[in-house]
Amino acid sequence: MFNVISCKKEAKYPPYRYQMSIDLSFQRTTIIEYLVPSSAIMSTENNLRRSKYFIIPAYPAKGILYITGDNPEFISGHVRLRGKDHGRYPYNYLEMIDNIFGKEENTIEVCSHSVRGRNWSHRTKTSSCYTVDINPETRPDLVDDGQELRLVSNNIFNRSAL
Amino acid sequence: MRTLQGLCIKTALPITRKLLKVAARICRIGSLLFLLLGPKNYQWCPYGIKRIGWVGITIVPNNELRALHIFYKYADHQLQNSRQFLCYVMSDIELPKRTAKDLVHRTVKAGMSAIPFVGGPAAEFFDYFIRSPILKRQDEFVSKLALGLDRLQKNQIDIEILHNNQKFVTIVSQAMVISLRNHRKEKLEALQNAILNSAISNDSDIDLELMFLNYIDIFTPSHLEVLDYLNTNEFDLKGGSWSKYINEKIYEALNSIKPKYSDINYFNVIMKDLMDRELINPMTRNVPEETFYATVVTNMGKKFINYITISY
Repeated sequence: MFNVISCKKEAKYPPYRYQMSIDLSFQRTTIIEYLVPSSAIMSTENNLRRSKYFIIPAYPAKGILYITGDNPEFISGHVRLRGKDHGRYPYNYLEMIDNIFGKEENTIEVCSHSVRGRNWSHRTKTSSCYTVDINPETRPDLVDDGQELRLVSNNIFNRSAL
Repeated sequence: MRTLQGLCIKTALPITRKLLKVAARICRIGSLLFLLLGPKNYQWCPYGIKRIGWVGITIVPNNELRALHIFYKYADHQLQNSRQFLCYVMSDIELPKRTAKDLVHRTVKAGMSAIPFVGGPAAEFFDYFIRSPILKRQDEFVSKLALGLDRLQKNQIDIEILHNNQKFVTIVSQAMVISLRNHRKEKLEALQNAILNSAISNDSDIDLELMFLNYIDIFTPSHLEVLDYLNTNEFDLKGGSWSKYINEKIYEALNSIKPKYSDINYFNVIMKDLMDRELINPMTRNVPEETFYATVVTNMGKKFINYITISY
């Protein structure tokens, strides 16, 4: 799932702290690797691999995402975001996704509500996505039921936010 | 009671499963899908989609909980779906017992494997070119049927609801068994079209459809060809009765196009088969003695033709 591009050891004694640059197959991002200091679990190579944590700061949100050495195909984590009313995305939510996984222009935003799409003249940081909403008052790029999307062809977008 | 969706969004909350299924359809392979939900647990994901992440989100200042589900599309949902559906249907089908030909095939293959140096590749060659006839026939039929179901999906027909349609499962299982007994392209196409038409129509008569499947099994491609010819042409039914004269007229007309019907007895058998099943009936009443052009295919015959022809 990811490839290590560069690695720099920053602590002399355990717990070791590494500043790493990792290609997550999506975007080159800086993450921090921690090696849990325990002589027992560091005895074998397998345990050494298992004890690795690759930590990704969820900037601009507060919190971290992490991948463990023994299961590099799954991302877990916890972030804290300031909410918005009317069921909208929290502040910095879309920016956090763009920052961690890379910005993708060809994104569809289903049930977009207030997310600004390509029709808006005044574009924002996340305005390049294609928006779909059932409510025409929200001025989406396409007015359609997000559960059907009969007017949208197959296999045309590179990312979807629901 | 005023709810959030009633007050702000003005619509009912969408069903997560449907949203994810549609997203899987419209995104390319290799795409990431981000699904933001409440704290309720959510596990299911459609074919071709794999969950690669889960991030808990605390919303401040009121400390609500949300969950970000991250999915990855690794395969085409649509094709996978059709194939899985067919596998599901086929798992209930009792396939015919192995024939002597299959036994010969296995024996010959085993014998070739025993030949030193040559045995392995020769057996592979045999397996590749003279594969077990029944399995090969079954694979081809299923592949073509899967493509047909994909085309139905592109025409906005949700084939997943057919999972629970017992009528459709019966039709598919019956057609699948018939397909194993036949190799003629015309008959296999008729069977595939019959299945697809059964998938489209909800209110059709299952008894009639099973009867039509039986006709496909019994008839030869010549029967289908003659019936199609009779349906697309009108004939002079002067006198209002099925006479030898009319039969010969049709025979001459058909023979001028396809010389293979050179034997009139062969042609008469075909006509009799079609008449026995009430697919054609040129007997008409109150017809004047002068020239009277009309089709000889009955309503039942037209239904049969529609059933074995693609109608989408």
